[in-house]
Amino acid sequence: MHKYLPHTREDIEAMLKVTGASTTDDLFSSIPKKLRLTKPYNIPHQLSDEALTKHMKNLANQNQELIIFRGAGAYDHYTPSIVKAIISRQEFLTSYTPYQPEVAQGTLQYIFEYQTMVCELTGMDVSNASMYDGSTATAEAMFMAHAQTDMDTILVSETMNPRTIDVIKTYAHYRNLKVMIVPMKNGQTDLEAVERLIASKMGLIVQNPNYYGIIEDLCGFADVIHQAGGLFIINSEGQALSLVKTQGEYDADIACGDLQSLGLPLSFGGAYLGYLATKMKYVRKMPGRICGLTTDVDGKRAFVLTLQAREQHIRRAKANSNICSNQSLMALAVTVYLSAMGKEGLIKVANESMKGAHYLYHKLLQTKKFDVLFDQPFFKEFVLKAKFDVNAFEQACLKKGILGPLHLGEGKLLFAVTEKRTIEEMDQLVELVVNLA
Amino acid sequence: MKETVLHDKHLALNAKMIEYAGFHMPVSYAGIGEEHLAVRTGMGIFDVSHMGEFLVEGKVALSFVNRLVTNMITEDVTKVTYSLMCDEKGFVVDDLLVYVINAQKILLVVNAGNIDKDFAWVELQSKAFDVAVRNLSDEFGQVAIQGPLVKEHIHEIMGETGQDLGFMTYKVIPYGSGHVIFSRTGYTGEDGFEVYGKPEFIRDIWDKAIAIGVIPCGLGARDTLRFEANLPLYGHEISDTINPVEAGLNFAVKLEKDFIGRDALVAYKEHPTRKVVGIELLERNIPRHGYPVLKDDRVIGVVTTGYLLPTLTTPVACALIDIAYSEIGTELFVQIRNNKVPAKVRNRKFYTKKYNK
Amino acid sequence: MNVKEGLLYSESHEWVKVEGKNAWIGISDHAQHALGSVVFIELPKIGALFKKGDAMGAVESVKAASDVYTPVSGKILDVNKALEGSPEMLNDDPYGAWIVKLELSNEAELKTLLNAKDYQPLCEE
Repeated sequence: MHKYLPHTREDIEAMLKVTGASTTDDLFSSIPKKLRLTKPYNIPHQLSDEALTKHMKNLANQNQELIIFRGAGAYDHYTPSIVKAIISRQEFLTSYTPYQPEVAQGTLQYIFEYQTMVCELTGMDVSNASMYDGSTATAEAMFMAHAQTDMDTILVSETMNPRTIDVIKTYAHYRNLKVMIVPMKNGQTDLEAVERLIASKMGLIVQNPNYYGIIEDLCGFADVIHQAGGLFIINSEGQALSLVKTQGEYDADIACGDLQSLGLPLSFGGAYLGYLATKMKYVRKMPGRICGLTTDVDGKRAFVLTLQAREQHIRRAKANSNICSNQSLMALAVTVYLSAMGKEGLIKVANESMKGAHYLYHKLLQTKKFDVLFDQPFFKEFVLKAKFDVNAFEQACLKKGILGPLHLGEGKLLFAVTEKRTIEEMDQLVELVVNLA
Repeated sequence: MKETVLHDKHLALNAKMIEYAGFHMPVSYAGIGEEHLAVRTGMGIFDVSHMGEFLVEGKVALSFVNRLVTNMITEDVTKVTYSLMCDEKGFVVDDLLVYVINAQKILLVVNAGNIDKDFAWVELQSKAFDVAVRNLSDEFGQVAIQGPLVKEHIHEIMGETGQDLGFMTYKVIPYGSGHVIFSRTGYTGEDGFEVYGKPEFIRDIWDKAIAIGVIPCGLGARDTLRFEANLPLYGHEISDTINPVEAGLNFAVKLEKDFIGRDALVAYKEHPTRKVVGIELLERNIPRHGYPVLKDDRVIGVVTTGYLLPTLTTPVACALIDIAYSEIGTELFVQIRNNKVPAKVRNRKFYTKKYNK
Repeated sequence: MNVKEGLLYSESHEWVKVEGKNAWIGISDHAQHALGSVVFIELPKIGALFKKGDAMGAVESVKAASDVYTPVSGKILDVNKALEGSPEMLNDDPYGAWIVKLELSNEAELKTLLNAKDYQPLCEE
């Protein structure tokens, strides 16, 4: 069997002859012996086509396909077949960096369309070509606020997904920035607390709908934050933007979040898709790639990556961020999804998630085994406090092929419902609660 | 755009026309205010031929319809029943009238804007029953003749006094070379009749009514009248994201019966979260469909329908709000453009209905 | 549609009557006809400043609300309070029922408005 580089022995000898070396190891003679690897790589030999297929199949069979009632940032929505069909095209699946516009117009065009759709979804002026995920996009939004205001502390609402807060803290740490958490009030970001704390801060980051599924009322926040000279950053997951007030409508300065809910499969945690969009006046503070529309020498429409002086291949240490890539294939998937669903389809499918969540909420309360935690409007997720053993419940669910709600601690359960959850599945979950000892 | 069987009549009367539910319809003739008052004090006629009609036939038609709709439908062939159809999560597919021709033949009358969606829904649900469902919407014309003076003059139009018909009852009567459905129903809060029949009969009835001085009324007055009479409109007080309990239509929902969505509604009733309430502005302004409703600075709901009615002094509206604020007298605001207009919760009885009960 | 001579018009169907440094503003016959019976009017506050093209108020018929835009920049000196009680005056006498009187802040803007002859075709659309 071959090793991994497909050169034949003859190819290697011919190349060695030209270089004057007698073995390939000789080419690395400038590296001190004590730094060289002396044993072979611990990589198994290649498998045959059939053996490899068998191996992957065995791995795949370890997957448990469950009926999912859990969200917290990653949602079990349906991916229309057209998405996979289009992103599987070889022109898209493996094509790489579009910095040479003369050979990448197709890629650049869909990136431009993606950016346009993000602006339509969020109500902002300009979007970049995408980030790796919602959490890092949010952390980069913090960097933008810092670059704009020169303040070193960011306010973050307690109602944000704690994992996003962790990423924000990690990013903040390495730039000597500070993160201050704004305590919540009855499941919502407390505007009075923001008013008290906003002075001399670079801004506020909130999540809407928040970690508890609650639709936040962010009226009045922009005024308070802007009066203090800060930036208003709202993190919203993609599907929610078809129903809740957009960042643009709330007069936010930066919109960020994850678009996994717009046609990307769960895929055991990724790849997902971060978006970052802002008002035109902050465009030069944005990290990442930005695609623009122009004309070529013959006057024909052309797409190019633009405003590259922000990026590190030009500005090096002074670049806005170290990211010089984007999540192109996922951006394409989301663009295909949005085109296929359309504005009306998007609202329809979001409504189905919302209606299912409210159906389940009322049926669970009917069992009398829960306490209401927050009496607040919610989208497709909600929290209820269990009056039973939540671990036993989780096991009972798994036995029936159900991934139950996320336990937030102290018996608080975060349920998520999407359009894929049928009445039968929801009634089955309710049955499990009823049958608990 | 589709045209109703009376389309040329509206053009001849110089009606202001618009597109509604895919039809070219008259929004007004002399003016919405005048038409509204004509129905409240005299007689008005509406072209409602755009509405949808489905016929359910089969041995188990009555059982099927009872599974489909929220209200109890009996074998009484003189009754017209107002009801709703819900999905399994309890949200409204449409509101409708049910006419039991006999236990094996039932007519459903649905809203024009929902004909295709409703028919697909009814057909889908019918698969579990041995019934046949037909969409006869294009075969029916329909007019509504409404107002306190209608009962004195209806025989001049129909050849029938209808005095044997109480509110929400109907009968099939001869007309011209055939028959029409003659029903003591309406969507205005006044006494009156609705007639369903072949296009040529409906055209004849329209001409006769206009000839004796019945005022032609359009969709504009239809909406102000039904709103004043606290009758719901799909897409406003009921919709695919509003259930009949929060809309206040419990009278048309019989939870003791099994129907699609019943379980969801029983569960909802134990912990209701929203309610459609009446609101009254405390300042002169107009609260319209879609305007936000606030408590202090928080948005707690939205106006479903609102008008400055010709017959009332204060501007009123219906609004779907957080149930915590639904007590009568609760002070709220309605956001009208840049103004937070003070308002308060009131009952929804804007008008005392004048049905022939 | 009646287009009154001697007035200037905007493309959004408002009329302007210039009187020295001030201007009276109302809506044209075409506008009142398109609206139908006006049942309500929202007037701006006296002293408010507007730029050309700003929405300075609204007129409402039974079915719809329409913004009223100011064709010229300036400060509101007076508003026609009579319209609040009798908004139908806008239908009965569109050129007599002025809505606001404002002090012009940029007379050069008057040149961008249309005279009666040039406004007439807009009513035929």
